[in-house]
Amino acid sequence: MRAEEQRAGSEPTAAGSVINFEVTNCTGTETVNVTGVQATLPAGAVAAAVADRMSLPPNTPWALRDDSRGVFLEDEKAIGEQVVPGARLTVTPKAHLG
Amino acid sequence: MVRADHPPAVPGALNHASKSMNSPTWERPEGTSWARDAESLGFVAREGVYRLDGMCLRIVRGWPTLAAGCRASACESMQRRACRGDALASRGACFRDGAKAWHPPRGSLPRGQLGGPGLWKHVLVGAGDRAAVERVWELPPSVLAGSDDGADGADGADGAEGGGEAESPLGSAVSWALATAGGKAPPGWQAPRREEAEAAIPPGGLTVRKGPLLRQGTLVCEPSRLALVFTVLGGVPADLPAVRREWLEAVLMDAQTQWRLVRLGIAPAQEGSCVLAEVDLTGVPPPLMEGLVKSSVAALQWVVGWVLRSVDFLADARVACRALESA
Repeated sequence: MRAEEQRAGSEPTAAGSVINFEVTNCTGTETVNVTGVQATLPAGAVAAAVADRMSLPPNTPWALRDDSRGVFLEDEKAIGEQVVPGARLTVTPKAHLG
Repeated sequence: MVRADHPPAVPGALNHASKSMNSPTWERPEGTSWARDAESLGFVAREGVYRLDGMCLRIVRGWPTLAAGCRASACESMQRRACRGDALASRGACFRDGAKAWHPPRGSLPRGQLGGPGLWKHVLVGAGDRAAVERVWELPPSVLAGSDDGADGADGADGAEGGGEAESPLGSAVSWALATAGGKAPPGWQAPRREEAEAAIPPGGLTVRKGPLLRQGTLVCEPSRLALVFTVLGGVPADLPAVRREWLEAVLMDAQTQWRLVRLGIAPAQEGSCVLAEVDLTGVPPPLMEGLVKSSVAALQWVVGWVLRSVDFLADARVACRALESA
């Protein structure tokens, strides 16, 4: 993703359609604009890449939550099928109490 | 540059540089079943190498390998290539001691190979002034082992020349290579059903992640083409300095030379150009399709992961690197 940031808006045919969105960490202390993401990428892989970019712990499973709908994205499903361009997402550790 | 630190998850060595560098890199063909296959296809043995119309066929570390446009020394250069440890460094291309030697090899990435049918690709052989580009076709041994192995034995039992109508797996593979050598799909070839090809791809097989970098490959399954394609870089900046572009091409050619099966190159895109990695299976004989798709996915996973950081760095116009730009 990083390489495409300075080329926001470029949509190579070979890569298929790409989307842009904004991701905030779960404490709200950092927000990054993620651009040029291939719409066919699984959301789980995107969550892991975003977490890496935000220097979040790599040994934690991460998920993306769509803030406008309040739902977690399905890991295996393509991200382009689950979010609209320009969406605001939160990267969240997969954790539960008890 | 990102370096391989463990072997890829591909049956058989994907890398040409094996650790056992003192062992012979190609097997003697006499009396083997593949030699009989080669003879039945019209190859003629000479000095331990099977030749036909300027091509030579041999088994290099278990991989059936065809080299097109074979000169007298070509097979020796294939052997040298198999023995080489670090292709780019051996050409004196990068990071030699003494700051004056920081330059990429010139004009090393051939045009027009992307999108061509079959497994043919260009590789660099030799070093320095003797470096030359050769066109090779290589088949993973696991594909032959996974297909109908019994055919080989039956063929061998027949013994006599041209015994039996059924073509062996290696025979059909080499026929495919010969048919696609001219840049055209074999006449009458039909692409498999998309579901059939998809079934051979393991879950997540077309997703590659290296740290924050993420790429999704695609299966191209059209009536006239079967291929697996990754976009390594969505857009090569139009204002990328010429020397950085040369480095980019050198890295791609290096990856293509070092690793089997995968072709890399710069292709036109909607805006400017992009970097692609692909394995083209157009014309593949149906019995080999499943095994080749699996091997191709594994090869692409490895090679894309291997070049991703280097390509991303070289194409990032925000990053200044005096060492790379002083040529």
